[in-house]
Amino acid sequence: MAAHSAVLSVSKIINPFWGGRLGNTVKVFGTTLTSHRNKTQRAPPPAKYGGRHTVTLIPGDGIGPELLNHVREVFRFSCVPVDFEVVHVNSALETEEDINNAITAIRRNGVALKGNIETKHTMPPSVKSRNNLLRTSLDLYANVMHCQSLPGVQTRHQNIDIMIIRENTEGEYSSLEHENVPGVVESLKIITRNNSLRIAEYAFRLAREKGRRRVTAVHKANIMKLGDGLFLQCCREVASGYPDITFDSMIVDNTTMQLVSKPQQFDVMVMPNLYGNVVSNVCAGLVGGPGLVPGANYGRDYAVFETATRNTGKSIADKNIANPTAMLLAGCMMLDHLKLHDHASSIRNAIFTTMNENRLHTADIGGQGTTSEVVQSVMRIIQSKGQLTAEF
Amino acid sequence: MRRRLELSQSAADTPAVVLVLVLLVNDPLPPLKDTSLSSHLKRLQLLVGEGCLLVAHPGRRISVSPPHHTAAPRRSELPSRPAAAPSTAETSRAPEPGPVRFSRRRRRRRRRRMKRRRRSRRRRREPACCLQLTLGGAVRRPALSSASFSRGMQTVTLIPGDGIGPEISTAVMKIFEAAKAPIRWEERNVTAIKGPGGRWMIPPDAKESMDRSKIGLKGPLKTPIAAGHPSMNLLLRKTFDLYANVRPCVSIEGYKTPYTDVNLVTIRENTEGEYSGIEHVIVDGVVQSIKLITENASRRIAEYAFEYARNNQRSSVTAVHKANIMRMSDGLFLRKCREVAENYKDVKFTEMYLDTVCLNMVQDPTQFDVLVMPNLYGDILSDLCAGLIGGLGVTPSGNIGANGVAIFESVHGTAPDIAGLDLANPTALLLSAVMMLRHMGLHDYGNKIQTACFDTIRDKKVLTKDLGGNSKCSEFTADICRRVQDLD
Repeated sequence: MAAHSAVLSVSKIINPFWGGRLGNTVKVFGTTLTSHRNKTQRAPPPAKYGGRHTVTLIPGDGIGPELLNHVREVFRFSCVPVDFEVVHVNSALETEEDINNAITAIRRNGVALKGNIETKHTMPPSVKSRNNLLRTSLDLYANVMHCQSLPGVQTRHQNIDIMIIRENTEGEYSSLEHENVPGVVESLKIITRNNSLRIAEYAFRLAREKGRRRVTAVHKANIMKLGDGLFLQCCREVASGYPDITFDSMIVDNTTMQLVSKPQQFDVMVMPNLYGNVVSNVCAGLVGGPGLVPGANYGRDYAVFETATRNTGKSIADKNIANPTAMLLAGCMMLDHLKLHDHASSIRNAIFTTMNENRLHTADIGGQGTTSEVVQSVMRIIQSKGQLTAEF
Repeated sequence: MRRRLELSQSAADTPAVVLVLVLLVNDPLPPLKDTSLSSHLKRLQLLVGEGCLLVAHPGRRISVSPPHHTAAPRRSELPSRPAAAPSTAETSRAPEPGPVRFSRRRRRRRRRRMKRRRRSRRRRREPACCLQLTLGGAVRRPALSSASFSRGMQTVTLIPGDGIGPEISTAVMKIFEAAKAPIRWEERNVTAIKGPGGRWMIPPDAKESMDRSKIGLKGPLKTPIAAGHPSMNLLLRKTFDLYANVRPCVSIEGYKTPYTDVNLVTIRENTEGEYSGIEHVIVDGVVQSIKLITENASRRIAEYAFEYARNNQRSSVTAVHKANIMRMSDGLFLRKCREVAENYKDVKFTEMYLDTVCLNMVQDPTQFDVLVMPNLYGDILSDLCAGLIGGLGVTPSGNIGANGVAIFESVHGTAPDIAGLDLANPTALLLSAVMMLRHMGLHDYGNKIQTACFDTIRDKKVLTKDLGGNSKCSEFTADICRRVQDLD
């Protein structure tokens, strides 16, 4: 463990001096000596093209295209030095050409902003979920979601501030299924030691960086003794290296029960894939709905930003009633990742002012505003702060 | 001489409801080639018409008693038996009433004929289709033995459990006594014992009692960690093939939670899915857990869910799944649900992803009615819904098994820290017992006890500690008993 941290500190010293120029050497050096990829803040891809970043944009289906258009509008208006490379993925096709193009584009640019790609489950099982394919090919192992109660939004519970870190690549989402006997289907849930250690490390590092005091592992090890037992064991091992952070564990059904009665007791939660799905949706519902919370998928080399609950929203597509907050905040998270903090905070402040002070809400949080009204309000507030903006 | 079932008394109290209890234990009509359920139904419709009460005795004919002043259909009005059936030969040769003295030979022949007829009637006993219709509760159990009908009392196997189990069981028994419910309790203990062949099993007297009475009420059982045997709940589930776990979640008026107006039922598949317990270590550091979904189990649970919805006047059934990711397994579950939904056109069927259900459940639980799902999602969602109404201390639960077995239980833990201190809250076990009464058809007793319980909680004068009061369990129980007696 001591050699581990020594090597990490060495690579940290090297990086600031040489920046991206010694890129390959540092990476190789780092790879041979560190066993886990465990840096929470990846070095962002360098802004090579005239100081502007290029980010892949995948519109997706449903409300994705319209919300991402609004994001582009707001970015253009606030003169954010980001160019979007739009890659369309057609979910109706059975070939994987589209999604492979998208994956290549993300490999090229390093960062992406995406809407949800619909998975029609009437298709044959060989056609896998496109979103899942993206996450596993790029090895985006950590899904991070920060649920915070917003003062302007009326909810049943107040003062919620939970960070959810969810393992994103394995677990129940391994898509390994077979039918040995007709009428009997087996689906495999894979838990590996490496991935569990990786996600636990990520969780504890993030907790430390953000000054969080407590990490809770969510599991079902009383029933799935080997699988979730392994996950829990890895979390405990990693926790022993962070004595300043309290670690405890909770069974998933008890967790959901506690979340709906006393959500304020949770701080940081780490869990495998499926439980992460359930818990993140419950928390999103607690703070006001799917339109408010952004999510980020981090891998070792890539980062993809989207809404936390990954809804396609087919029923409200093109009606101008979707809530743009989640996608805009995801864009801000992306700007933070690209180290464009000023732009990120100005847009974020404008969004929160619209939500909390002006109380301009869309239908999903009980208001009557339209998407474009909210976006216009955000842009107006950015302009009023006196920063450089484009034509309205 | 006619013997009426105890149930007919409750039918008299609810004239608006048509009580049709059909037991085709001994069908008086000769068997037809087509023995499907619908053909039996048609024949019965011809026999009785609507609105009549069928009284059945095992081993005897079905007798018809009209509820009001409509006359029972006479034998002559019934459709004539088809000529092809073998037993018509016998009846057509039945002796006409004539002179009393017959020759010895003729008497002998008559005796032999009657013996043959009796033998063939006994052989013809066909429990072909036991049509169980329910009435405001869960599925009614089939052919009840005559023993359980003595004095109208029905036997229920009571498993007190561990920790606070015995106290809350005693509380429930006291309340039932105060309500004068026709229940005879048979207390049994379940501890895992090693049977022949090395397999763990429940004690044989408990199994025999359950097999006889078919209805059980269970308190919390503790699962020792390193005892070497699987959990008792799992053993019970396997022994009686308890395939459906039903949890109705209704907001309790006196117990304030952030969610009001919750009124939904979660029906969870209890035998397979993610809890199959099949796990392997592939290589060191890689564990594989198998989730099993079978056609039969999915069909069975879907059928139960729709039957429940229909019989409890529920308008919609929602299947919860994750078929976008687990295409084959949840896809199979979904396909079976859709197939079963075709036969229940009066109940609306919808499908929803698990994450969408979770999201909408915490925002607006009133949009859900009956939810049916595989094991793991059911576990999480049923506990989520329990949390909406106030926790496991106030949530009833029932497990329905094959062969008409039903075990109702309280799902909270054994609470060893307050065991024996008279501080426990018997509400969960009491509401499960009310569910049991409804299952058995004793609705008025069930409603009485439930009203008394809710009134006590609403009054807030004698509440146990977990409900926010300071009273003891015995005081809470006494208050409910008093209210039950007042309601009489």
